[in-house]
Amino acid sequence: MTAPIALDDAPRLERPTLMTARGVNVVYEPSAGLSRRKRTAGARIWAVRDVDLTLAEGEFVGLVGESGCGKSTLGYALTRLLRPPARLESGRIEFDGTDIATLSGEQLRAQRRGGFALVLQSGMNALNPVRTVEHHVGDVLRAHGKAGSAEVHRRARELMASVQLDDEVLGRFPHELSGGMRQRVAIALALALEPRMIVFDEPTTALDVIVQAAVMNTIKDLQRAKGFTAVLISHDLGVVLDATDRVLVMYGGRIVEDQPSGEMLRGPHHPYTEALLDCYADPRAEVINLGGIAGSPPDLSLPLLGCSFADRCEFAVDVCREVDPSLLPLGPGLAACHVRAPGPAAAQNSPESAGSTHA
Amino acid sequence: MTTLPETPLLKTDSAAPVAGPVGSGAAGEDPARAVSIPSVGRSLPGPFRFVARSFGTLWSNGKARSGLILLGLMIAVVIFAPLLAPYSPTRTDFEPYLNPSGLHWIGTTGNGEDGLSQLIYGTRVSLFVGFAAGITATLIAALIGLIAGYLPGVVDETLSFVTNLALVIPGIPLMIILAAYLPTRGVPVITLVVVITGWATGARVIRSQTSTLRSRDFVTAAEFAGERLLRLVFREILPNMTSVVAASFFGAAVAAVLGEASLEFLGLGDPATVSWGTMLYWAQNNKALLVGQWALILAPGLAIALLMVSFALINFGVDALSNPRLREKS
Amino acid sequence: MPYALRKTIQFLLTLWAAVTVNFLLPRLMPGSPTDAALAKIASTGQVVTDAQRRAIELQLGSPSGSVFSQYFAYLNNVVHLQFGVSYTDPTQPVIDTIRQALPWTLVLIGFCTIFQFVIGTLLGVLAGWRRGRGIDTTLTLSTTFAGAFPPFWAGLLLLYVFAFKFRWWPLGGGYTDGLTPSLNLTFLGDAAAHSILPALTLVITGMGGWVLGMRNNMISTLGEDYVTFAEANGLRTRTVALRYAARNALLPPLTSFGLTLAAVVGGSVLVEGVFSYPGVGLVLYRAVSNRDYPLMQALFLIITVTTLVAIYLVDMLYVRLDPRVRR
Repeated sequence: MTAPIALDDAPRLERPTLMTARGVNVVYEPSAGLSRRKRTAGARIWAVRDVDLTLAEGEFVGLVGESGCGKSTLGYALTRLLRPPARLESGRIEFDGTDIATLSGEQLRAQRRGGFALVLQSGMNALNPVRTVEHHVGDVLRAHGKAGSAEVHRRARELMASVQLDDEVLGRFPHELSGGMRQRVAIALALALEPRMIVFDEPTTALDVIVQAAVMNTIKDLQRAKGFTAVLISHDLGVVLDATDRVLVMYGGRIVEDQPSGEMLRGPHHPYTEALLDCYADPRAEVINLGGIAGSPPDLSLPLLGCSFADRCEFAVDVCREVDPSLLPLGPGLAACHVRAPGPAAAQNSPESAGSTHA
Repeated sequence: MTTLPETPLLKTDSAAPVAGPVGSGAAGEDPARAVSIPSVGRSLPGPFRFVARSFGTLWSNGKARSGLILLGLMIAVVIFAPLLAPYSPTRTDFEPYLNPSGLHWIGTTGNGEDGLSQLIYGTRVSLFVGFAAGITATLIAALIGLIAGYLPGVVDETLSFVTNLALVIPGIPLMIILAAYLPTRGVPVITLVVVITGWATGARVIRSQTSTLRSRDFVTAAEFAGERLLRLVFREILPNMTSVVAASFFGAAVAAVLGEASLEFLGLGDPATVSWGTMLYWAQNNKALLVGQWALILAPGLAIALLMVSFALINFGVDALSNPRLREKS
Repeated sequence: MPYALRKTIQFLLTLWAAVTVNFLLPRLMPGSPTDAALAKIASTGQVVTDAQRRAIELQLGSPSGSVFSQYFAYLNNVVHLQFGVSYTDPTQPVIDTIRQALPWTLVLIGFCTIFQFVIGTLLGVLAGWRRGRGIDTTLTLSTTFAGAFPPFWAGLLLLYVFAFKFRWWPLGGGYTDGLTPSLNLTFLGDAAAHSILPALTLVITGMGGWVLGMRNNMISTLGEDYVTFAEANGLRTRTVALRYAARNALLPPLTSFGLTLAAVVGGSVLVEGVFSYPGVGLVLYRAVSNRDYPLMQALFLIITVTTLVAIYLVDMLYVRLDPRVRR
């Protein structure tokens, strides 16, 4: 596939590409407890299907979708932290030109320095319960080169300041900090190695709304100040639209839409995105209609043909169930929909062209 | 020496949706806990289907399978003992202290009995004690564990204290004291003593599991819906604890077999019983070691070890059921 | 309530309960051990002093006096370490017999427990870290198998192979006949040689539990988020394995240290019997054969109390290791 063309996003075109992913497929293979008979295709789950994406330097990209759509899995795949039973089945992921799938254990570890980093979903559990915050910083710094205790202390104070935490947290253990503070510490640790890309996996989901806002502001400020590429994974569209430059919408393991954030609230969209936007009521409206999406997410253990949203889509036509839609231009961005962003396949199968001759 | 099973995880990760109460048809629907349902037995009534399904699940785990086969062989020996043993185990008219030969595969004891026949018939005692004591100890453990885990406050504190006490008092010395004081000797007494020392480990685990489950939402929901206590315990909580209870049974069975052998070895059993422990007692008393009769010592001990290993191996399979992280990649 | 305080109260309560159980046991058993005890001593022609008789009665139950008065007198005796006299040698107070034997057992068990703990934990960490690979399967299976050997049988086998056949180590006892126990090197060396086989037996049969427990905990801990995060931050494998995973995986087994210790103590009783090792276990073994009730009672109490104290010490140690319980 050719690189996607964004029509009126000139600043983004100028930025060099940092990471590309082509044809990424991630599979969950639940193991054991299964007799030989049961090890058929039916037992595997395709969590991420045939995903292509490109991330430029300094971009702030959001990855949105409902639970189980594969966004966290994709995030882990991009930072090469997939754990069994998850596995990268196929696809090529390049970071700064290097195919990260080929990196050995030690090379991968070295790559963490100044490379890519991941902030986990629940900062609550991301910290070792038996080590203090300063020890955590020390561990990270010392893993990538020698650092004396004075140096560690200095760096630690810097890092804590950058996430708006007081010096006194340095001597504390994780259980002595609040959820929001722990999440900030996790962010600070990810920053310690000055990575060029950070994936934030639902960083604020476990926090209450007020702390959420504070932490998101910290993340935004940091991104602007340090200029790293940020990927924000969340199911909360509001948070994502507020913070990011570009939004990717995932459904059923696939990316179904790719739009600049500013444009998300207007313009045509993939039917799923539309339905998603509908779910957010405008508090200023006179009458509030809460939308919902009928049906349930697809069973990811079955290989799906056609558009993953077809069963729940009110606009679906025959071709939707037969052919996988590709990401094609829609408005300022891209969408994978035969109806809204039809490709040659859709055009051929649509009723209107039934009587026409081939172009 | 067998491990206590891990409490099933409360965390959810995206690939392993937590299964709700396990009813008889729920398995097989979530892939992460995918359990192979044997196609045979589907038409059998509820409890049998449950047993068949559990068996099938255990069978699919490599270690558990070996354990099951081993145990099966032992059970076969128990049933077919009269056919397998060359002589009656209580005949004492053979020449004593014979070394292994064609007539006496592991030799004869100091009392003139045939070692192999004793070995074969001895299987009955050990298996009996293992199962009887195991089941009894597990029942007591389940009773106490469920009550302590379900009713918080004074009841829980008291029962936990008693359980803890029973746990820290070293088992074998306690068994020795009890057995020494009781007037009669023999297998039933030994079974009793083993049960008294063996229920506590299971009780602790069951209590902790009940306590965890009790705070789960589905129990609260059932309580609100007005379900009666007994029904709640048996319908909602117990089915989620089958693997814990099973593991507790196997643990208790292992301890029982070891305890029985130890007591008999010390002379606290009935010396006239035909069992593996008693064989070792007599071997020690008759100085079989010094005479060089290694087979007479090796055989019964090995049999005890194999029985214990079979229980432990099956227990591996049960552990893996309750803690998905421990499952092998076959 | 602070962890330390709670554990101390628990310890004291359990101690009291154990002593009380010891008091109740002979009184609950059918038959009268006291009469049997006194009769047996009388039959050897020894004269029993009043104090000794009283001690036996208090230990085993006397027909006179209310239960409560007996109980308090019993507690008094326990505190003053008056356990009466043994059958087999009424001239020697039970407490002296125990006093001689206890150090041997403490050294044997102490050494074995520490050894089991250290090696078992390291092996468990290794097995958990390399889960599913060759080393894991080998370790798991071999320790399960070894742990299934009844300790006394393993002892017999080792005795046969190494002492009888190969004559590498002595056939039994704590030290060679003729040597007097003292703290000089010759004696210590000799004692050490005599302890090798019993120690080996205990360690081989007991280590399985540690290895397996640690392995399973390692596997669970490795699934924790903070391990993933540590990896994400590029920490060295060894750091992650030891400081992040193992250090946390270590904590649950320590809380069940009590159980393992109780098992080791039980195992040592049988092993000492097999090797005629002059510890508390051997004394118990012989007391059982002789139906020496006062001795058995006292031994049981001493063994239980020692175990409880050891568990208490480990609980206190736990405070230092897990910052979450410090208040």
